[in-house]
Amino acid sequence: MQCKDLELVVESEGLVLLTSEAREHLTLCPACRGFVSDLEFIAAAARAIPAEIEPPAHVWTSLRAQLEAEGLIKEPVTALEGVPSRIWPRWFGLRSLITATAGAALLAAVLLLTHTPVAPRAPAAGTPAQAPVQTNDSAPSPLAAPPAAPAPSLAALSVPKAAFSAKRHSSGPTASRIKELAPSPSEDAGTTFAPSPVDQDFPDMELAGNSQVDASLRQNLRTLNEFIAECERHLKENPHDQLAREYLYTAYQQKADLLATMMDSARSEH
Amino acid sequence: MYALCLRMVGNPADAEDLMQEAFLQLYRKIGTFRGESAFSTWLHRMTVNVVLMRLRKKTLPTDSLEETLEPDSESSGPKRDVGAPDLRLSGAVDRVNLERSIEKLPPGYRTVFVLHDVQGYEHNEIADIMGCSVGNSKSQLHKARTRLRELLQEEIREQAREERKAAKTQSGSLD
Amino acid sequence: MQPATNPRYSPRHTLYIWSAGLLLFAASTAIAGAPEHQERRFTVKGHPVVVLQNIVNGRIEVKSAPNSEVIVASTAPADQVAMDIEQVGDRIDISASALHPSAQAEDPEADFQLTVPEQTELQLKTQTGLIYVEQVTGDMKLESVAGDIHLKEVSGYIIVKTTGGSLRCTLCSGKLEFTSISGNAQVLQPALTNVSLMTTSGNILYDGDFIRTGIYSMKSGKGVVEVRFSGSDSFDLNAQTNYGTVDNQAAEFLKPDTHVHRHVASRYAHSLFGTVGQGLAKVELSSYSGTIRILKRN
Repeated sequence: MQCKDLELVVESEGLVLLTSEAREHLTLCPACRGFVSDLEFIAAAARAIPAEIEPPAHVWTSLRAQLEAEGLIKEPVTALEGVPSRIWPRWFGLRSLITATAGAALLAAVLLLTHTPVAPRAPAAGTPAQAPVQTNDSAPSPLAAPPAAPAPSLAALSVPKAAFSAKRHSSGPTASRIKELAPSPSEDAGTTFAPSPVDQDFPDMELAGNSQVDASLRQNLRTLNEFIAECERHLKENPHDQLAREYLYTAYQQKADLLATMMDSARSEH
Repeated sequence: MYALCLRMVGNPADAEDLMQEAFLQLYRKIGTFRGESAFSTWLHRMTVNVVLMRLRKKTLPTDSLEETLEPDSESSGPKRDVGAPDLRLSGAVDRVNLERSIEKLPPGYRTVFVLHDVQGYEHNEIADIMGCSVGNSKSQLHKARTRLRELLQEEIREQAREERKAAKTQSGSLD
Repeated sequence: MQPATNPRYSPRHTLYIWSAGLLLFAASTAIAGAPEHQERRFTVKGHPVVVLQNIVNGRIEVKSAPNSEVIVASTAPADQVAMDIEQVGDRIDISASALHPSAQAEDPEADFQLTVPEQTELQLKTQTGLIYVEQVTGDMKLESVAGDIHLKEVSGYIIVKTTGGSLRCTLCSGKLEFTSISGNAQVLQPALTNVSLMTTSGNILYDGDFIRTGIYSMKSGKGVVEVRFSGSDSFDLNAQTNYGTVDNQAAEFLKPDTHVHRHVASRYAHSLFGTVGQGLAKVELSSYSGTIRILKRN
């Protein structure tokens, strides 16, 4: 067998199933031995390279936005809707309610015990027994239901939310939108960048029941917007600066993720 | 999918775009999957097509894509230098060098190499994905490995040259 | 006509009863709102996966133990936080969310202490509390909005994502990926083979070795990127900043770039290319407008 014959065998059969003739040639030819050894090394090194790499999370966010924009998927129902609540939290909630009610009943019992029997009075004067059914601005009855928590203004919430979701579908920060706003260097150098309109909805929108989270999200959105504005200004004058373009692209992707997080917070809250 | 895209185009930004595009295609065409091949094969075929279409649109600095997908009419064989450094023994070939060298392969070689040696597909599956014959797949793989060998040998020679230069400079400064 | 007084009750007696009643009422209200401590144990085999979504404030602490069980200890007010824990095979899903988010004046908190087998895969998500993980060697994905993340002696494929929280990673190995908008990253005494740190306005400090063949990428939009290496390191350096400065305090250890054909200096950026040792690892530092600092540890 010649060296070129061995090569044909390796090409057609691979490195594992070499014929006896090929193996014999390898024992006699150091050059071919080195060649096969090198190819085996390369194949082994390649096998050690991870076959799967997890893509960055913003890819999934952008993909989801694009799929929703194309109507290929619908917005998922949040996990809590329609799911029967677990016994555990319900039981604990009931227990605390019973405890609080027992305490209130005890206090009412104390009041009754110390009540001095008096002759019936004119209705205008009122009696403690009648107090629960009368509204008393200065001293609300302990037996009355606790005042309802101030409900968030629906007008303030629903309009921006609807506007936001409509805008998300039409001009949300999907990858294609990002590409529109951050063209590659081969495109026209005179391209101008348009800021995302979704920012305008957030100042009035209550993002989450968690005030700390809300503040953090807003602050970070401001940080990103400032950075994006800075990069855009720079790129207007220097459109071929690849480093700045990469930073701008990354900032857009971070903003897409942040807006998705803000939307999730708002959805879980309301 | 992402790993395949990344290794074929060499940069994360393009790989993310391509992966997203491939998934969009998947969603759009899911109704056309007839189960004639494994789902993963179908998915990878879609991905490879998306990537190859993108590569065709770009102007490649060296080999064109079409050339590397067709088997060579003349097999000139790899250059085998007697006395070339043995990759296994050098210790300087590592994953970094290998990944850099993979990026330098022509797209057709790179695709087959990544699918076979990195992703673990068999030649019949690669032929299905790439739309070529099994023989073509084997041939491309062999050429990819041979070319990688040349690139890595060049890398080792360059490192050795730099080390000799550095050693010379040091001994010169000590004098 | 004078109102008749009840001869059985003196004023002092009345006062005692009132006080007792009020105290009991206050106690019952306090009990109703007090944090509840719960502990649950789950037997697992192999490499378990623990997924914790804490959509309220609170701290998450994870440590390993040589037992084949996952212990979930939680502290949260039962009337404010809904807790849900489910096991399917070796996967344990834990979630904590506010029961009535709009009705609460203060943000509720749920703290978790998890004890897991060493090779557990973790997926933790919280809003503002600290995430602390020690001596866990499975892959992990940690997300936080404003809470910090502290890792000690962990290994695996570590993905950390925060909006404003900072990362501190000590004696970690494996691969690390960190992205944040305003959080900082401190990586101390690592044995990481692949590092990717990206923050838009935070700072980055990498104080450790660069492993042969490793790839290290550290980018900050506006913050400082500081790298401290040792004399035995061997890496190829590529540092670029548009509006910031490159503070090279290790000039005597940096040789001219030995791989010139791979580096293309941008005319818009201040760049520094060089090689330490044989250049076996790859280090890329970048800051849009912050300072890049390179120095050698003594």
